[in-house]
Amino acid sequence: MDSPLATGGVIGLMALVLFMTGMPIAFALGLTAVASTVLFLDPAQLDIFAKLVFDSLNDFALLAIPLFILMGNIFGGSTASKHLFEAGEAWLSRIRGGLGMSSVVAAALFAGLTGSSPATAAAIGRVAVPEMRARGVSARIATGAVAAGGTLGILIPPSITLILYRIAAEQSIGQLFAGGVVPGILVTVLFCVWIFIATTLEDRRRRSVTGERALVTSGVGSEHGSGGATSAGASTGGDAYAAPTYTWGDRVRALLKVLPFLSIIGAILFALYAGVATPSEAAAVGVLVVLVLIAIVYRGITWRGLGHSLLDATNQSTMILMITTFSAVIGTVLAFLSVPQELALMVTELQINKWLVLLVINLVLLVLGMFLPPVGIIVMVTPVLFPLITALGFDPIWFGVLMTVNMEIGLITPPVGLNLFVLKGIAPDISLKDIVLGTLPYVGVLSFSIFLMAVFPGIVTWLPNLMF
Amino acid sequence: MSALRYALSFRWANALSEAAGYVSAFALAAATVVMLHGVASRYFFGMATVWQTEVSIYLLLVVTFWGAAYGLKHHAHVGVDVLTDRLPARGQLVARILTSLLSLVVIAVVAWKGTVLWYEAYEGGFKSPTAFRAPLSVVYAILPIGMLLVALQYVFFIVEAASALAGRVPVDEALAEIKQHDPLADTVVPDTGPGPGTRPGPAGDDRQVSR
Repeated sequence: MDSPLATGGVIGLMALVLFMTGMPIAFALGLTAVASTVLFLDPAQLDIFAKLVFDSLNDFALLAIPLFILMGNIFGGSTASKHLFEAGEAWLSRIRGGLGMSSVVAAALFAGLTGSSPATAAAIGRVAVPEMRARGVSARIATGAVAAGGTLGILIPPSITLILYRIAAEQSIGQLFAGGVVPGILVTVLFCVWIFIATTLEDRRRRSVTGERALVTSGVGSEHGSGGATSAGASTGGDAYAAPTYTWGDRVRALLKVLPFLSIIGAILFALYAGVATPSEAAAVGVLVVLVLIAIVYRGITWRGLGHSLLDATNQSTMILMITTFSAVIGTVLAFLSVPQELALMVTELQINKWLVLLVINLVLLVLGMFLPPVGIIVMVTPVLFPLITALGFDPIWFGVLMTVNMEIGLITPPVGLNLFVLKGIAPDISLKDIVLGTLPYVGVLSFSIFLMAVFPGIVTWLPNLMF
Repeated sequence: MSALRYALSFRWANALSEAAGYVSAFALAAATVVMLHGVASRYFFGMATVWQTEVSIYLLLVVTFWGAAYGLKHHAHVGVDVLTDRLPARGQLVARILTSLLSLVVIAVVAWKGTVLWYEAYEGGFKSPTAFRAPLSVVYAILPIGMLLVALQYVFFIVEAASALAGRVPVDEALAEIKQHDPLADTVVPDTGPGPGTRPGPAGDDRQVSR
């Protein structure tokens, strides 16, 4: 095979076929690397495989991944997510769709303490979905808000995908994390706007169906917390949005309860941006602080719970790091074959409009995202695309954040949208169809965010440029 | 006879993977402590953190490569199972045997080359090129041992699936044990659940606890 690009195509195809067999992504990548080495390089090159595997993890920065996962696990295992949701609700209950918005805001705050999206959806969903259902929010709006809100886990720092992007693209983690902040807030606000619109549309439809009945009952406001309301649901919508009333005192108290955790987020971000600590050190300190805070505030730390958090963090970390390892191996093989360089050269020589290239890249990422988890895509695609992105003159920080928002879409699109399955696990009584339909509009919202970030790159680059 | 049958069933690989998971979890806790010690000694006492950085990286290798066997047992390694899930139960078992064999090819290559790497370090008495001078014969042993544990877990999957196909084990039981990824198992963290992979209880329980 003489053309590196054709070789690259064959390797890519081989990887896709192996993915479809259902074998673990890490080993599918490893097998692709072994086969490509034997076929296109020299079997003697296999000698360096163990060293490649070893060296890919010989990196202090990677320690941030298990530690941020551990921090999120400890946090998620406590009742803190409940308090986040309640704080959001106390402040937003007066707005139409306020409960759904509370879930999104709680997820955004939770995302500040964890780097994983399914973990965010699980922690918030466990609290928010039953509460919303009990208070008459429709199945679609309730599950959509949580599934979509959960995706903020990988955008709002600390973010595992951005840590992995940093390693593949050799960018500053402080800048990348800072780049995720404003888009994170933007996406949160846009999600809330959609919840407002969806709730309005649903109310209107409901009113036209049930006529006067809805008008009569909509004023009654004391269904809150009654146990039997769980299954009353949104079937008829008679008792929709019977929200309790909050005084300003309630609101301040609710906020004070979550303030310690908000201050951890602030402290971690400050330590990273000010260059006081590396991400790994910040994560280790974060684990300690979260542990101490939860022990003091909730008195909810047991040895068993801690052991469970550790085992679970091991599980998630080994999955991510095994994929990272083997994509480093395949990345080295591709670089030996000079595939990424040739790709960059070809696209730039063809002088295709760079925005068209960006559109195509985003569509490819979207399709990959339907099947593969974000971490897998980031570690596989970044080394291949990075030379192209820089050759086209795109800002690497901006592209990393853009790619992460794209990955968020993959988490909520079938057939393999992790967050959809998390929601199905939390609310087994809601059909997957309702979950998918409730979540689908957020694909549009996220695409719109990508569009906004492409038109106004300052959304991403403003904060990093301000700080560095 | 029954001891031989137990040995051949490779069920003991499960216990090994489980033990490896606990060791990895401990390594993760240890890494946290070591790093905190490093942070403290650097910021409060102004000392260099030579061994802390290095040791925590080695602990990370344990978490990844030994934890990999535990992750495999608990179906943490994500795969694309939309196609294989459509197969009938016996077809899924066959697919599982095939993908296990494919994975074993990679694991064998890495384990073999990893052993060579370890042997060279052991023979030559190599040390890490830092002031800490960690013996690389210990460090390089982490990878092949981890790969061996993963391989054993895969052999158990293959034996289990083959026994089910031969009618010695109920098909559903074998499938439940070796089925690929369960998207919930590694994402849902119950408050005080009894073990890894526990599904969340009806969320109502959650609310009654602290109100």
